[in-house]
Amino acid sequence: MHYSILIYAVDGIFERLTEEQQEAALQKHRDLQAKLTEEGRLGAVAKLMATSAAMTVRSQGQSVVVLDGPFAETKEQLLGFYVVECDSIEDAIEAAKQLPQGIAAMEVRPIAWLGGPGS
Amino acid sequence: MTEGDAIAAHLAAARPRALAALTRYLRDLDLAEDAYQEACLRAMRRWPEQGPPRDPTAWLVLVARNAAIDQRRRARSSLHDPLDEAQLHEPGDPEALYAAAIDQANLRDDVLRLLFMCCHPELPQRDQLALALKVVAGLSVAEIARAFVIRPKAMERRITRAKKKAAAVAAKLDTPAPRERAERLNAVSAMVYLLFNEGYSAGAGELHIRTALCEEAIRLARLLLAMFPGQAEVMGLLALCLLHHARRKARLDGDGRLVPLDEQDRGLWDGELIAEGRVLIEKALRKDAAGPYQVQAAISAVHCSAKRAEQTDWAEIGRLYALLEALQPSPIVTLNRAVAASKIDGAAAAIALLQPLADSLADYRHYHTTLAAFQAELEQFEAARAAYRRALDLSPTQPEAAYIEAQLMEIEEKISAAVG
Repeated sequence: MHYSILIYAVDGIFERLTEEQQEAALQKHRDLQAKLTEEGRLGAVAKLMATSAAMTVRSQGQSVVVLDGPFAETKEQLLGFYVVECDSIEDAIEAAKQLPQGIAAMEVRPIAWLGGPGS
Repeated sequence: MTEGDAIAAHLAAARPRALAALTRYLRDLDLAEDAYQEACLRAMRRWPEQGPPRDPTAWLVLVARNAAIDQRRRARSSLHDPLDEAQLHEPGDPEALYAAAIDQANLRDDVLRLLFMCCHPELPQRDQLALALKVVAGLSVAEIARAFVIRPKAMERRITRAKKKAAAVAAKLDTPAPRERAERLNAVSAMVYLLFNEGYSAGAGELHIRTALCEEAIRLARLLLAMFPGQAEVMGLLALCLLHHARRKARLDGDGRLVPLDEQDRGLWDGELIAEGRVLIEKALRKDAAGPYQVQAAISAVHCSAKRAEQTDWAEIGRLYALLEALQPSPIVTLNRAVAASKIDGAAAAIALLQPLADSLADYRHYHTTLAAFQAELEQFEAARAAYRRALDLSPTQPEAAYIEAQLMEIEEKISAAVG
């Protein structure tokens, strides 16, 4: 079964770390990606741009409007995600724990249906 | 990452918003800074035990404000401020209370007010920048002094003086009317732009510190855009900074010499920043007529999208400079248009565009280096030599001087070859 690991943090907090701290955090990501790739369990991985780059498309009455900014004006924003194949939610939680902790929270969310190339 | 790293990042990220809210509550910049400092100390003690709070900014504002009230109370012995007293004894979740108190609508004007205070028109531009770095970005006086290549003691004096002047304004600044808000936003955008330029066109010796100036400017631009998400010119400003900053690693060679755009190793450009800058420009251009920051960002985006220098779309750049010239006429914009013209119509046409600028840009060294490059291209070596020498007289930064001297050497060789 597939699970998503959704990474939430304060927009721009990563950029507040020093270069060495950023590098240490990225290394954890690379390690996890390498491990999951080797086991053939890694799906899509994405780092999202800052929410200032986002636009939101939604309907307003009969028409569709395009609004500036992210869907939700929350303090913590979705900043990236992993798609991982796991035997259990425990495995997915284990994977999430490998990621840098402290500045971000990880939501482990099982995937109901997965489409697109490679799935 | 250690817990301390994460806490430091949270404190730095929360600073502008927290300090802006505190300045409004306390109506005193120094008091707000001290209170914030105190809250940070408490955070460093408490967060490792209890974990960071759900909303670090609200926590910091709450704790700082309480600390300031305590201090004020001690100073006035038994004198109580009934309103603050009531707030302090409010039952329930204090964080939720303050999260509501620093809601987005207030915060937007708070942050704008704080930045606007720093660009007090009676302050010299550099003092405005120094003050913003101190108050909003939280840089130390020593760091700022290094960035502006001035002694810490002197910087300390200037910041104290600037703060006094700004504080007088702070007391008077209330929630602005829409038109006034737009004017403040313009003034603040201009300051962020200046700050970025200060870092961007700096010399090599101080390069790593100057990079910090660029990064602070980008952070401030991000903050402004978060506060004013629909403003196309703020998007343009951020895009402009990102697209320029993306080239930072290619701008100097191993010996600290300046590398002109067309000779830069484009593999060193930061693709992530370029992508973000381009998205912001695309978003901004969906809106009304483009303003100067957007046009400048668009020019930068055209450069960034050429994989090799020869693939640069100079015709588009020429059109954009003409647009910029119409929006914001200035001899420097014309100078840049001339560079684009030289690529399309040749050096002679470009020199013709430069001629009317000779007086107004007589003391601008880039005018002379640009002119010299065109003249060298037309094999007017004696004229080119004179122009490069003139540029050297106008105190270029060290990497620029090295570049000009290299050009002069080449020209000397050509002159002696022609004579010989």
